Amino acid sequence: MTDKRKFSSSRDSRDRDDRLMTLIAQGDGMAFETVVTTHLGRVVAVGSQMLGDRSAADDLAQDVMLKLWHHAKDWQSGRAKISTWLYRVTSNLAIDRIRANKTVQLDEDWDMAQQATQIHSLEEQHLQGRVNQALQQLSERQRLVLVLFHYQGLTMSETAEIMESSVDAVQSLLARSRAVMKKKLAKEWQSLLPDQIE
Amino acid sequence: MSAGNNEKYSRLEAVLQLYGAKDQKWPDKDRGALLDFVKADDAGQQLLREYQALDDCLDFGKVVVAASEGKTLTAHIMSQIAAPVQQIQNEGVQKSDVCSDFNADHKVDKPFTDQLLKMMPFMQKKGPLEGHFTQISLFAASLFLGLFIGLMLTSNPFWEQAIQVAFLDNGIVVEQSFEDVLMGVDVL
Repeated sequence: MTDKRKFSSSRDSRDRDDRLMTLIAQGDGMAFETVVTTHLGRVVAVGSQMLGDRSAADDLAQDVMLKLWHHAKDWQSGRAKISTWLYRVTSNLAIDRIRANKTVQLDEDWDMAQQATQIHSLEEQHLQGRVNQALQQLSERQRLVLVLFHYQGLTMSETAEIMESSVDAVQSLLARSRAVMKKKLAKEWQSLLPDQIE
Repeated sequence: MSAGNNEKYSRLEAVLQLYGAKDQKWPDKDRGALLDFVKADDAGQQLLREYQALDDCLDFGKVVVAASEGKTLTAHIMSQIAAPVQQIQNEGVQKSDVCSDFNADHKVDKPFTDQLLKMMPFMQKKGPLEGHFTQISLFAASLFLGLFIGLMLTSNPFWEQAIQVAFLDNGIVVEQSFEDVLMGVDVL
């Protein structure tokens, strides 16, 4: 995709978001439902990985979406995409809640009941638990940068925009975050190397 | 490994550490050169495999929201915004109804003085003897007449003597006038 096409696509996306937000500001429930349906999965995923608790993530997602509904009238056209706004609000609310409740600790059974249908073996369950445990041991911002860049597949500049930080700072944070995960999960990822798999 | 390869290996390691094993995420300026290096270099291939394994491992932490869960949560969120909207709508209807009821109850067809006059009978208080003037005046007149006749009679010496005789019959001699009998009360 050329830069011109990228720019055009991004501008179209912002125009569409602006139109939706205008409708939401006017109390259009259908427009709001469109936004919720489109973005809810990402918001829940980020909340879940940040908080380490799926039900808490559901509550967080509700709060984020209701914030969007209540603040739609303050939306400034052409400034940001809805997804960027949602990621930012989700991140900030998640960090607030982590700080407010420092006792949240994860064990290896993290959310297995929620994900049981998506995984196939005890080994995979164990891996999932270990990854999430390691994730929760990262600092808030290290976790957030990994969630946004690796799990949400955002670019470095999008991640920097959401985290309200410079690209250089985000790169540095991401490198540290991945290094910590590589070290903590050494046994797990080494077991996945092709020559280790029978 | 040559110095050039060392340099490329270091760059590959730095890129893998930061961006992971998916080359789509690598910087455009590095991608081509690094892929060429990996194809030709065993150590580079081994390093790439390690980071692929790390990425695969991290992917086990992915959270996928099932469609049914998403629908349930969406419905819950929509109900929360629907409630205030419905409440506002209901309040609007209620206020409207209340206003029309209020106006109907307080509609003034005639001038206020007419309304006031209609209310007057309920505001007047009747005295306890009102409506009995004739009976009372007749009673007062007959009382006055009775007293007058009585006084005329007692002032007669015959009747004064007759009273004294009546008291003597009971063995009690009372020397007193009619005024004494009335205990000095001036009834008039």
